[in-house]
Amino acid sequence: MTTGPARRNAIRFPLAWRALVRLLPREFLARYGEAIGDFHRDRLAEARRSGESRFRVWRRASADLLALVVVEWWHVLAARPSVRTVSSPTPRLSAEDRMSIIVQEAAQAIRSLRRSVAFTGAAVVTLALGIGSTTAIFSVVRSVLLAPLPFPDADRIVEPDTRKLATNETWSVTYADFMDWRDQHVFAQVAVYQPANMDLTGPTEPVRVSAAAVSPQFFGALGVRQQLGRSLNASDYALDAGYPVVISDRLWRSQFGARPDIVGHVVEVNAIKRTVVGVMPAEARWPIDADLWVPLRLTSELDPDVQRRDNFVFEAIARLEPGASLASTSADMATLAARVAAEHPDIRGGVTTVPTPVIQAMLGSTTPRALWLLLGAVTLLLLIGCVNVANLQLARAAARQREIAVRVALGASRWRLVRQSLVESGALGFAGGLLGIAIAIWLVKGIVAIAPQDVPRIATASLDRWALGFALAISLGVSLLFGLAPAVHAVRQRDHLAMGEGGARASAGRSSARMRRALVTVELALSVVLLVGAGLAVRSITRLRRVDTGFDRRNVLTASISLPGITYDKPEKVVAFMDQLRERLAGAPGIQAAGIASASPLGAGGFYLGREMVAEGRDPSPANEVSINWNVATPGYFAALGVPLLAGRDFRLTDDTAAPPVMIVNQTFAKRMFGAENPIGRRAMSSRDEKVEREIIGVVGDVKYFAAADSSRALVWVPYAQHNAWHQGIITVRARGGGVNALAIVRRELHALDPNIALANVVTMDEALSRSMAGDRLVAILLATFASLALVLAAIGVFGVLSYAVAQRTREMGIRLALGARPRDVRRLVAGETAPMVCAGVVVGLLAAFGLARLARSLWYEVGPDDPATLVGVALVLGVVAVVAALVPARRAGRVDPVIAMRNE
Amino acid sequence: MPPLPKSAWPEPEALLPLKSVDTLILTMLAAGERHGYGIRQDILSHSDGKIELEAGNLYRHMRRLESKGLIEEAPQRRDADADERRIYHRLTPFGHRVLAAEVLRLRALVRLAVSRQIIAPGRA
Repeated sequence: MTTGPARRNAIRFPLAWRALVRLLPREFLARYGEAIGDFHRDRLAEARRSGESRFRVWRRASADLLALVVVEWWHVLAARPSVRTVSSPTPRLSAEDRMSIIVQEAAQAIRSLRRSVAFTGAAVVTLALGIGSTTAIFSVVRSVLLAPLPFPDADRIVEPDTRKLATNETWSVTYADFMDWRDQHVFAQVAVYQPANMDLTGPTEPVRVSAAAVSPQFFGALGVRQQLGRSLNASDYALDAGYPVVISDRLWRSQFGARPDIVGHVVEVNAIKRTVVGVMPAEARWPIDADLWVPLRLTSELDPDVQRRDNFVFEAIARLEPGASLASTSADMATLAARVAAEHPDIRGGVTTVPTPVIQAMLGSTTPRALWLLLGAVTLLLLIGCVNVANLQLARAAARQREIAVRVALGASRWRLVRQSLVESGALGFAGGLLGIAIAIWLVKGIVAIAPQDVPRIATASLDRWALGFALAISLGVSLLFGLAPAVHAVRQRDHLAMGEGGARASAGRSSARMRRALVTVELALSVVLLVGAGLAVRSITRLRRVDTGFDRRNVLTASISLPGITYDKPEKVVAFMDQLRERLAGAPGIQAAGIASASPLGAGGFYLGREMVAEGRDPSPANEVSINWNVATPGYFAALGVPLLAGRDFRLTDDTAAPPVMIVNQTFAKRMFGAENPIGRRAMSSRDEKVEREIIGVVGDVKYFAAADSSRALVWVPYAQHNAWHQGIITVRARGGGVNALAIVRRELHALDPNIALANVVTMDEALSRSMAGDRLVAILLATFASLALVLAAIGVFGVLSYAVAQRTREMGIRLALGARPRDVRRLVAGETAPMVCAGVVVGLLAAFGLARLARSLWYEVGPDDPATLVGVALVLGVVAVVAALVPARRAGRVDPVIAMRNE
Repeated sequence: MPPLPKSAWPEPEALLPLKSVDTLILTMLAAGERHGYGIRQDILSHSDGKIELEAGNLYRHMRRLESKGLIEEAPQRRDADADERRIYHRLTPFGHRVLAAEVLRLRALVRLAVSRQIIAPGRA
């Protein structure tokens, strides 16, 4: 065994090697480290002599060393030393021991909680309310806002829109712009579509179904495949290609009993016989919930009407190019739009096109804001709940001071005390979470029931695994949160005791009392914020209800109809039908007045055109234009709706193609176009399309067009009979009193004239108003509920703090009473304790409410965050609540028996 | 880990059977004091190059043997032709007894194997 004249330090091992060696357990390293080093030196020397590859040597040595580290550490950790060495006073614990300790502590916590039933019950219920409400709102938010659409890569689907830069208004798109995007490959797929209502006629009553005429890449853009038959393909778009139609899953099941031979079946739609070529799957209800899809056929893409750049009558849907981003596509679209604006400054100046992510387009801006507001409110409620539970725990900890003192004397470490407190909090949080989930299930059902139906995807809100995971997460989170207070308190108590301070109990009690007061102040502040929010929402709703819609809503029924183009192929037929229907309805017993118009107020449906009008004699330039909504109506409409005729006259049957063109306008239009002058007899024309001067023959009062909260709009009506024979209309009848079945009368008369026309969107004006407020109403109800709960919790908080304070200071009360104070004075003293808390809470809360209300300003109708009535109301309510909560403890203080109080220390 | 005091030594038989690596190490040490690399070389030549112990492997077993009191560190000495000082190990008396007991066990096993004609009887 010779190694040659090698010196010890001749070979320096690499850094990595030495680091690895140092990973060995200390004792082993001390004993054998040097030996191992020697061994390796010999090994390397030998390898050099024998020609063994150095790589092999290092490879084996490294693997061996690694294995050694693992084995030695395992040996160290798994060993149970039979002899306790001096350095560690307590035996090292194995993993099993550690686990059983935690289980033990959990069991202990649960036992202790079960003993104080009142505390546990109150805490669990408070937590359950907070966790349940938060989870429920989260479920709704997730379903409506966050869940992706059921299409592949749904986040790459966008809705191209036209946008007016100055006002940020969004419009539909023109076919010409669509052709640009298609031909320039701005998107992977792009399509336009037009929604329509069609009547499906058959053996039974005609049924109005929603339909869409779509361009070739529609289904490709969505990424949805038919479940039966085929989709629409290129050959379907030729003008002589017959009448194919694709139907929805819902229609297939409801109208055709899910028959397997549906493909090839012929159906009659709007008096045209169409062949069903395919059935779409149930997911295909976005972006338009249609039951029928037909090819969008244009006479020719070269048609000047089709090529117009201001015919914003198409909806669009597109899928981004793979690899393109929303920003890059947006830039591309903006470039194309700028080119068009340069070529047509009069109609496209200041107008661009943008891609909007499809969910955002579907939801608009109000719904997301309302939902986030609700989520914020419910989080506040959760926080208030946590504060309350923390307070409850502090009170309990104060009562268990003796127990904690004993534990500390037995050597409990800080960490152990904190752990104990956290385990208890965890148990409470877990129980609260379970009960909260039950509450959430129920709450979600309630929300879905009263939510406005036009909020997309609200109907499918439920507690899915995301919501459950959320509930679990916040249960844990709040457990930690409210577990902190008693943990800190216990540690502080321990420190006092450990330092041998006398009067530790008193000082710990004082610090706990301070903490509790601070918590109650926070609670009150949060309640104020919630109350302000709820108050504003409720006032907003009340104002909405009382708003003047501009017409008499009582006993007014509306229903929409659509005349099939095949049967009513000439304008005269349309006009004749409308006139006849109106006459029959007006003459029916029980009906006071009847009329037909193209759109209904309060967002109850219909169709209108956005146009620009210029007064006669003025230059048709943008400066002189007044933007209006163009409607069509029969005589008798305004009387039926109950809109006051402020000047002039209604349409007459003689206002037809032979007579001079006329129109009726509303007050806003008159003011905008003619100022204070009398508009009757003046003329104006739609400057960009019809270009026919029409004489104003009547002025009607303003009406809330889109919703109760709508602002003033300029409206214009022209007769059906004067070149505006639209095929759709909304029948409006005013019944003589509430007992008349207006719907039956309308059905009867309609059927008598043409049994193949369906009634749709049957709604009374009262219902229409109610529906238009449904969203606000939901928000108001929920906020009011949360605020009430918060108030109750805050009251409990105040009550708890005062009760405890009284109990602590019984001796002091006794002395005062013995010295001659009247019970009333003692009561006042205790009740006065609430004053600083309430004042601080209200001030902080109001400041916070101001700040937050600015964010939500747009959600409330004519009610700003500085609405004095609301603020005063909130302050009053809180004051009253605090006083009431303080009553019982105050009375108890006054009734203290001085003798007993001084005897018991 | 300090070795157990003599009074606490168990009977040699209690430690049987030894792991085969332990037997090899103890056998090589029975020839005299050895340092780690020397043991490796001995085992290597004895097994015709088939059993190649690396450092960690070796010293792991030696740790265990030492904790059981079968081997101990010999006082350091200089190598004959070098300056270095190495760590040498040697068998303890107890280790001798345990090794002897093990080898006897193995001999009994071999005898049984021969009687069952698993291998041919070799020279005793």
